Amino acid sequence: MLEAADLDVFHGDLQAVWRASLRVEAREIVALIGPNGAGKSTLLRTIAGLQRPASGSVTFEGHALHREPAHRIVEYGVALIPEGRRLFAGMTVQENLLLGAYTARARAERDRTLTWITEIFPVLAERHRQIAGTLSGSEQQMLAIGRALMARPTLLLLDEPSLGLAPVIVRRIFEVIRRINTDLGVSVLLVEQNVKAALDLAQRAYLMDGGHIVGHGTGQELLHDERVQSAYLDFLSVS
Amino acid sequence: MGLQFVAQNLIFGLLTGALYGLAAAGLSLVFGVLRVLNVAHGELVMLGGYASFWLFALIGLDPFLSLIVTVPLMFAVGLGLHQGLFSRVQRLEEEPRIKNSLLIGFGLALAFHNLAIRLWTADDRAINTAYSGTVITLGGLLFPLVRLAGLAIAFGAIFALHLFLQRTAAGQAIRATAEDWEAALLMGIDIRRTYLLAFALSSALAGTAGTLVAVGYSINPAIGLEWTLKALIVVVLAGLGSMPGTFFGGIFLGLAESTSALLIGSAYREVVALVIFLLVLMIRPQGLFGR
Repeated sequence: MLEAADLDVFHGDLQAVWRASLRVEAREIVALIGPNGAGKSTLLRTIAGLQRPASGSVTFEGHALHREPAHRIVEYGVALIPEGRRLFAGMTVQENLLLGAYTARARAERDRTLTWITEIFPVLAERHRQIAGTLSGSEQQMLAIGRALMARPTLLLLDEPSLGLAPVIVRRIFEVIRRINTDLGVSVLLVEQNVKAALDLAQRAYLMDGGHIVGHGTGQELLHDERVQSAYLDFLSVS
Repeated sequence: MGLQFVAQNLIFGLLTGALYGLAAAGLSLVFGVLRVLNVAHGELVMLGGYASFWLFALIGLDPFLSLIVTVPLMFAVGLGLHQGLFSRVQRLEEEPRIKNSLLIGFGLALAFHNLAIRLWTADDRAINTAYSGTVITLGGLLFPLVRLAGLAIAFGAIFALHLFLQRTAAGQAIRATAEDWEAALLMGIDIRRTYLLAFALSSALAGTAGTLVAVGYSINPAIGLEWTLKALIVVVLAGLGSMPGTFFGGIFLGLAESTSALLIGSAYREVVALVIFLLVLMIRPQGLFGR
């Protein structure tokens, strides 16, 4: 479904991603883990079209994404929930959600999607007239997920959805990601610091370090990988 | 100084201020969405004024009716300016973008100013229709008809712009791009088109203001700088994000100017605006370009 091959990505003169390749199959949850600065976010941003690779390719259902502007990539069914959520803070919850369905393919399904999303996140319906910037951190994350789902993606890219959230909320967010995958059949590529939770959820995972993809396997394999064990001992105690 | 005299002065301030508000709305739109200060905005006001002036002088088209021509014409001028010039700096980082856009703006301002002198001389021009001298008297207070119509049109334009930004998909896209252009891209918004539309709308608003200036007051090739300055002061005063807020900021400036003319003499009119500007900058430490 998604195939990134030999991606080189730069930030100015610095190379952030080195010959990275990864794959996401239909209906799969894939985790991308690794320390801070490993290039995980850059890789997601490159797939979403926010950054251009210097070389390599990204193909998604026959489309060469590395040649397309970001706004068209959404139209093909790839939605990114970026780091820091990037809500339209001065606009209402409702406006944020409706902007999520800006593309032609999403607009046709808008009302149905909205109903489904407010079923999973009733709080978004209760607060639909509230300014997004005034929501709590967990509500903002729910809105970010809801807004991305409004685009009717077939592949959802999530960048650190648990960042800054309480463990009880994190569990809920992960449960929602599972539901999105099973109920809607949406494939998920997940960048996550909460390694244990991510590897439990994912069927497969990639380990990234220093801009390189250094490991790959099923979630359980990576969970017992020595490098992961030693690097993430701290995180394993969380949740 | 009679109460009536004071009230009359405030009315003139209000009528002028509405045009400040209209000119500022256009500047604010470009500033808020493109993060670019178009210092040639006043020259677009001037061009709009000349368009209506010549439509009246050459073919006798009523100035208010001529908006049907002037507004699309200035919209098209905006499209051209953005496509040809401003879009080239849009992808740059913040600092080079601001600097380069200022250079483009100053260059355009000089070019338009001198072109207007060359084509149309430096003379003052005003549109004198059969009803230009008509004054409505209400409770002893004078309301020049053309300026009153100008107020109504300015208010209508701002209201229409506000509804457009709040209610339509294209308007929502403009607001989203102003808040976070990268997030807007992730929604599937083609932000290059949003920038283009915002710039063209801004130009059309400037043109509308120009027509109203030419019919209610007078124009000449040199008015651009003054209008850019007034619009900038209003934008700084009112902040970004709310068009009605910008409009009322313009009215506030108009009232402040007329009041000061009353209190300390009309020679200090321009000074008052600049003092307001400095005061706002002093209490806005994040500066002009900050949120």
